[in-house]
Amino acid sequence: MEARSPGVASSARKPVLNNSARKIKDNAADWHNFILKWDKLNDAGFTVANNIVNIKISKETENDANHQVDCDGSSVIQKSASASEPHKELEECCTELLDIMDKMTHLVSKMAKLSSTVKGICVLESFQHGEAGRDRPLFHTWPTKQFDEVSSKLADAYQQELRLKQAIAQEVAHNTEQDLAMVYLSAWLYQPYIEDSSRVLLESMLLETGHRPL
Amino acid sequence: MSKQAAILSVHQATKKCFEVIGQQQSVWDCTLADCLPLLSSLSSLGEQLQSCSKVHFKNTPLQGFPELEQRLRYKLIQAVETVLGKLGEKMSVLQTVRDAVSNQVATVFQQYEQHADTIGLSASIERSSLAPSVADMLEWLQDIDRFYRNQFLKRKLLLQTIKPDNFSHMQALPQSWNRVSTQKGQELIQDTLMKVSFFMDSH
Repeated sequence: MEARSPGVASSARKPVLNNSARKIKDNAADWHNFILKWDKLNDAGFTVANNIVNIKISKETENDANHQVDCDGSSVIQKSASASEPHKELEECCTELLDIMDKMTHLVSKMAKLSSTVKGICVLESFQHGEAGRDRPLFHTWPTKQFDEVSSKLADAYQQELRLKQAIAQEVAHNTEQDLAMVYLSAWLYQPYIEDSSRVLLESMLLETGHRPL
Repeated sequence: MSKQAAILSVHQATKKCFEVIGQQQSVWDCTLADCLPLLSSLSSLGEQLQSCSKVHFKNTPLQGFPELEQRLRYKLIQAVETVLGKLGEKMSVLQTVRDAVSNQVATVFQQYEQHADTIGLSASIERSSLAPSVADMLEWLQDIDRFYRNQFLKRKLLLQTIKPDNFSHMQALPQSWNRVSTQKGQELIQDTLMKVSFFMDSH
């Protein structure tokens, strides 16, 4: 019907998408939404992890102070009464953090599914059009394989980041070294395995699939 | 031009200048206040960079993660650069204030120099109940001009010395920044505007 010239986006004319293109477009929207959800969980997780570290630090300083008052029997009772409160708070924070980890794990498995869906579309295309793929790109310029590359890169990055967060979540409540605690918090907040290129890949995918205006 | 007219012309330029100073002072103060959270961020980032360099990743539960230390440091330095960018924007505003005040003060001096002979020395140093002497006002304007130039330069130099591997310097930034403001300096502009308040209200 339409002779699509590459690089020319007409906002007035909505191209009719075939099944694969439809799936890939939805896929891109899902990526965007999942990453937004991930960012929210990241912020919430950081707040909780920060609380855990602060509780641990205050417990350490309290232990140091109590060390000097342990001979008198009456003060021992006092010590245990005041010690149980931060302990309860710590438990609550850890539970909250585990809950956030569960949500993030679930999110990453959904991301893996997105990646495998795109792989499936590529396999189908090879079957239908041969190894070279279809002669016209599904949208503007990207060959279908490129969607697979982007999805894989993103899925791998978030998978690696999840592993890091799992390690941090396991250790943060047991650690008493201040510098290491700081490293745990920095590593959680700044997400070393989510590179700037990941953001760029997502944005370019959204541009290609028409979710963002050109 | 008559002596009176010459004095009036200088007075008008001086009034305009003090008006501008009054306006610019609040811009300056607001901008300085905006800088404080940014400096706190830098201080915190300094702490984080220091911890990152002190921890031996190989001896921690994080040892299995590839290139973790380099990646984390990269992200922290990137965050430092972002904050420095924002501080750069604030410095631009401070620079605009400095330049605005400087230009106005220069205009007043230009006016005075044009009419100096007409006005004469004794009229220049004559005070009245409503107006300080022209000489006094010119001196105060110079002091204010110098204050802004000085303050801007000191703060700019402070920011230029920030390096991601100088942890203690970064951590001490909020205090270093506050030390640049002196008690005397803080009062200079307020006091001067107070001294010229009757003059500003008169016509």
